[in-house]
Amino acid sequence: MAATTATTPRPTKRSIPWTVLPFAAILVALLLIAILAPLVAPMDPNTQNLLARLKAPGFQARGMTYFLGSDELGRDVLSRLIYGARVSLLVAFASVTLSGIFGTVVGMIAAFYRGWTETLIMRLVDIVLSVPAILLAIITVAVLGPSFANVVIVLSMTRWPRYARVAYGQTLSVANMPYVRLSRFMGAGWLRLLSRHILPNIAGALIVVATLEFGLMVLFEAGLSFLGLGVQPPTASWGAMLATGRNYVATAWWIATFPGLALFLLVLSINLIGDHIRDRLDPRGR
Amino acid sequence: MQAGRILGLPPKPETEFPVPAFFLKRIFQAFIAILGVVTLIFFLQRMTGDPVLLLVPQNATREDIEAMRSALGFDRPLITQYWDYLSGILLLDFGRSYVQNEPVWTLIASRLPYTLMLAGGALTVAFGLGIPLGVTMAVRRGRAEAKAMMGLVLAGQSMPTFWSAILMIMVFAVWLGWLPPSGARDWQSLIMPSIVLGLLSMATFARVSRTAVLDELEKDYVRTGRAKGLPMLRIVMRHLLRNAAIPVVTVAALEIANLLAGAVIVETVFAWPGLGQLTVQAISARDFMLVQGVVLLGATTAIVLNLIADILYSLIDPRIRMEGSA
Repeated sequence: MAATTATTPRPTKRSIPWTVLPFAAILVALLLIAILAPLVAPMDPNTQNLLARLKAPGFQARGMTYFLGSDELGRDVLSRLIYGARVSLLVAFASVTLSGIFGTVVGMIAAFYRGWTETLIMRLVDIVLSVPAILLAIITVAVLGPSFANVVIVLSMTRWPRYARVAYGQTLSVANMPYVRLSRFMGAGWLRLLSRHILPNIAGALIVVATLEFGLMVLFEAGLSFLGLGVQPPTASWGAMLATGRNYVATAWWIATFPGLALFLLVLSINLIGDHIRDRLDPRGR
Repeated sequence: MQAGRILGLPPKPETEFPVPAFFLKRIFQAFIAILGVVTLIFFLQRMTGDPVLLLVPQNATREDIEAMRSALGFDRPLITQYWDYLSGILLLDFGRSYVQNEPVWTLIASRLPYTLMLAGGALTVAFGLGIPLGVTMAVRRGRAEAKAMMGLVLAGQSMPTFWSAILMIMVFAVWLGWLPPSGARDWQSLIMPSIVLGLLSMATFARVSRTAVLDELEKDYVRTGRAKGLPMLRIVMRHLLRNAAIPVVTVAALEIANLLAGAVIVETVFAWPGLGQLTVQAISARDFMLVQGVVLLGATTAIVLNLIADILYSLIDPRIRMEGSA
């Protein structure tokens, strides 16, 4: 059963092109750094040293080197950068998972049941999508109070329609395929139909959405932290580091430059890989 | 179709040109969306707890608080407050900012011109860079320069605005001293914020115009032009761009909404006195009436622009209508 695919297999190159490879390496490296943060970071990210405030990269104190300089409280920028990767990736991962699962289930249900369920869900999708997500996120976090959980909930709340729309469209096109009808006639329940027969066939398109959304979530999280609406200090986050760095552009360029660079590389890598996966799954381009 | 039924209009046969029904349906949907946003904002605000406690001085007595509560109307049933809020909005009455002690609409109106200026500047940058990039990428498809440009577009898309903003301040204001780092003193202050905000939409315009031009390049008139010996540049400028402009214009409507949302961060970095900065100041002062007013305005603008984009597109390309009403 599992071997029956809906589309005819087309020949694909299995190698990753050289333009994508270095960015895949960057992504893997950032993931490893985030997971192994306590082992990789040279110092504790929250230890302050008021004698080593705003020192340039390469500054040495107490036998320690501040490779990327120190911030306004004398904390090591490199260590905060490493711990900040955790926040970025964790928030993005959690909100993509949450919104992805919710949106997929809702979208599949809309396509499967049709009728008023479909109308209700898909109109709600249209409505949520027509409001800029960052505005909704700003007001909701401002009201509920900034915290890790609230940021994840708000980001998921505003982004699930993207998955719902794709899951809906894909399910509609798969639901009438002969193999789905056949298993329906053979008495398969709706849960089995959706999970065993439809989901595996629409997963590809959803993965593409999830990849591109992941990059967006990283940017949203950083944006909220930048506005002071993200994970709260002293927890290191790239957006908050950038906000601090903005106040010291004239005197300490390194505080804003490195978290921004990290953010840029992370998002660029994700977008490139997402584009690559999309081209691979649908060579005609959309 | 459905909106027609709700409004009591007779159902039209499917074969007839279903323009009014589609438009009515979309307008009705936009109206519901705006109502949904208003409701969400209203109840979110009431969920935070007692707004009166934020307004009274620290040493206020219980009687003072109660007096304030009834003076501001917070002692009435929630549904009455909601109804008043809704009917006020219809008359552009967004309530009063209790922190700044001014009508919300006055505060918004004083900042609106700055945000419009910034959005205009950003849109100019986005169009001016994005369209030539997109057209070149399509015409030179597969060549090295097109690939390099695609890289540029991807980089622009992945660049967080708050970082590019800080980098520009560092280079052009602090090191070179060419441009003012922040504020809104003269026209030069507008340059950096416009570029930063525009770069994000530039990527979208480049991608859309690339796809649009690629679609047009396959058409017969382009081949005829080539066969006649016309130079490619002339074909593109005289014939192709007009046809490819349709999807680009529609996307422009949607991008304006994104620009307004992006302005929140860009205005904060550059201390540009527009609506975005007002929002951030209102959030930190816990001035919820004001936050609610700005977000409502932003969301409504976005929904209306969405509606315009849809209607524009359906006028130009009737197939969209069929999909929409299926």
